[in-house]
Amino acid sequence: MNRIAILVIEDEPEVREAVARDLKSFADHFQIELAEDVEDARTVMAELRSSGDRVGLALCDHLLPGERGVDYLIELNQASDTRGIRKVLITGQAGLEDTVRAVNEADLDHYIAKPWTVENLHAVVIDQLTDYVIESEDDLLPFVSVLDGARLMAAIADRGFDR
Amino acid sequence: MSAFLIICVDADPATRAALQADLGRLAGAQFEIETYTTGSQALARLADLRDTERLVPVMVAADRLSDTTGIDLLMEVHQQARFRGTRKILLSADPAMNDIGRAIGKRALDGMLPYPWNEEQLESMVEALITEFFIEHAPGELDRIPEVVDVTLLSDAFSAAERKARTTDRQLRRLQRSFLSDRELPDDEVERRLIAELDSVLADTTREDLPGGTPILRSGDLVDGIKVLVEGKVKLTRRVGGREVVFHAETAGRIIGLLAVARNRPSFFNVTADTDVTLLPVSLDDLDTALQLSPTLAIHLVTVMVRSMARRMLRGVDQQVRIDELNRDLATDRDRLAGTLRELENTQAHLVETEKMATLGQLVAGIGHELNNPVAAIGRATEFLRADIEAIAAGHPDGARLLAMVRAAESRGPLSTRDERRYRADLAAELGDDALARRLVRIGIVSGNDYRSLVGDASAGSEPTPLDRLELYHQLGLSLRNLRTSSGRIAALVQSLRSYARAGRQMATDVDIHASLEETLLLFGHDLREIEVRREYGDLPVIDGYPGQLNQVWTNLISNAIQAMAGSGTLTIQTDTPDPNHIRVRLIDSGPGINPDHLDRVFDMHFTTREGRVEFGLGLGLRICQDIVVRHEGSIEVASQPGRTCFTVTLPTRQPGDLTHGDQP
Repeated sequence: MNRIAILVIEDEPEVREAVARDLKSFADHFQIELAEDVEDARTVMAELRSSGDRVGLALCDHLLPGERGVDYLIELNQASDTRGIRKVLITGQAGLEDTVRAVNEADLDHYIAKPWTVENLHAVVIDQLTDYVIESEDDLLPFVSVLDGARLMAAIADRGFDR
Repeated sequence: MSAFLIICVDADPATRAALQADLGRLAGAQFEIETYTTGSQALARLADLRDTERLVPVMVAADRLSDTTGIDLLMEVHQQARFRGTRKILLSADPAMNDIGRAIGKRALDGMLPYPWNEEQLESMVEALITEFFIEHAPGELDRIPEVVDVTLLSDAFSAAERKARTTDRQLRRLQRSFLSDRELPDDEVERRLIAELDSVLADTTREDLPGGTPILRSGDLVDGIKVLVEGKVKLTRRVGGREVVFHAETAGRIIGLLAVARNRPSFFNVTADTDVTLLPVSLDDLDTALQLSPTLAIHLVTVMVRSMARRMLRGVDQQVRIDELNRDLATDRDRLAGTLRELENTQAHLVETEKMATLGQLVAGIGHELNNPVAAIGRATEFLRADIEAIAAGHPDGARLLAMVRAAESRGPLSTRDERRYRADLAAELGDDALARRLVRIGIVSGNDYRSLVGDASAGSEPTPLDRLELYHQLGLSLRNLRTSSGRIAALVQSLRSYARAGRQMATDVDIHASLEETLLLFGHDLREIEVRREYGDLPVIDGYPGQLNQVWTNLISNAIQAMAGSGTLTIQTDTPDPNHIRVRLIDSGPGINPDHLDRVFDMHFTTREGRVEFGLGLGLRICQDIVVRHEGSIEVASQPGRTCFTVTLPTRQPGDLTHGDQP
């Protein structure tokens, strides 16, 4: 189907559900995928790949059972087919050291502190996904209504002149 | 065997011939007579003889010679040790009395022969001198020259020698006796005898009376005699570091200056009269004379000297021993002080830590209290919402489905993400619609039957569709559930915080150790995520104790265990009752273990294996645990090996009375 997914990695069910509900307004255009730990996230990633879909934005908690969120983001940044994914850390516990590592090594795009507000979460998601689709999509029009319309229109105009 | 030699020196050949003839006849066959014209010829001949054994018993020199005088020549020969014994005769018609006096003063002249001499004079003089020479220098050769020996002289010499031998022998025996007797005598007696001997040997000894405090000898003074202390006391001092230090008082001894004299050095000590003193001064010359005249004096002097030195030396040894003792005492004091200082520092650190904990405790209790109201409000509001939804549903056309969805969401909660994907795949296959399956599973509808019974004509109708409504209902239920769960967690945390921070000011008689452990575990929350906590709880009675303090013990021990396991591993908590009056808690971690070298220091103040960093619950933690446990009359022990470190806390179930000193948390 070749759809773009938002991957949420969060182990606490209540928090995960809350994020999922806050992202519901994007569900018509983006597939919301939930994972409760890093291993689960890899499974989701594999399933998406096999069905021809791909992740455009990863919202990742840091303190997870098993591997740490930052380590997974670094892993994503090291593989060529996942490097383009927009990476956002959403956490209440990452220390300065981990955060610095995430910025330096995972090319972290944003950091959302818990507790978050829906306005802030939406702003970050829109901004990051807009960047993502401009970089990776040929047809930007479907996203104009849900993402940053002004920037997308400008991009479309630029491309029109190029072609 | 060579002949003995008589050397004659005269400028006149006729006189030389006369001497040759007369002496040759007198002395006989054993003697050779050599004559020389000048002094230098004679000296040259003697120089040749110097390294031979040839005896030269007599030398005759004429008063006037071409190159010297007879006196000067004989005196010059006398200077030579090899010819000192040679009897020297001056041949003179008109001797100058001054010169002769000079020669006699030097014992360089043994006889004077007038010129011209008569044979009797010559014979008696030569015989006497030859006899003397041989008695003195070659008594063994006397039998070779019987014709020239003066018999009277010989017998006199024999009796004199005998007398001298006897005297010497007597003196020797007296010396031996004297030394032995001195050995037996007490110090003051030897000293008394020394003084008496000096007085008797030296005719003109005097006494010097000095008042106490008078300097007698100064350090660095040149010493030209000794002073014997007859009465009173002196002290020997020396300036050390700007201060006059007394080295010897009782051990000063009675002979002042002898050491300096013996070493031929300036005085080492300042010598001062300690009381009024009477001294017997003896100059070096007098001492020399006295020692020659009285052999016993030397014995007394040596005895007094040796004893004085021995006393000083013993005092030196004594002082060294005392210095060693003082040094040891000082070292002990210093160690004790260092220990006290360390103890004070530790106590201070402990107090600071205790104060910090007390402040933290108050803070936590305050926050817990403040959180209570909002948490209670959220909890109540959740229940009000729940009641309102029930009320609305009662009068709602779709009320039955609403209540069913809300209740299902409330009771089931969210699916795990894995289950959700599995159900989704199955349902998508069954319904042939992936997007629909996704929406259904999200709201907990996981089978085609449920879908058909709950949604029915979901696809029909206008907005909102039945599925849209079901999603809303589900979300209501899920939100209620999340509210309840989350506010419940907050309430539990608050309860734990308040319980944990409950100040240890009052002893409780109903401390539930398991509850106390659980509250502590709850507070660790995330830190325990990757740690498997195995609870092996036995039956425990409630015990007496300070709940807040005991929580602090568990907190420190669990915190250490988590750090030791670097965040992941197995923490086993065992509880049991080793006897009816005690409970026992074991916290066992699967970390790498404590270095055996550190094991006996883990309860020390400041001890930390984390590169000296002292953090909350670290460093001072184990020491604080120990303090608290000891305050409870309990014990804490540690055993460690790689993969298993076990802290064992044993506490009595009942406390003997009010733990009055336990009012610090």
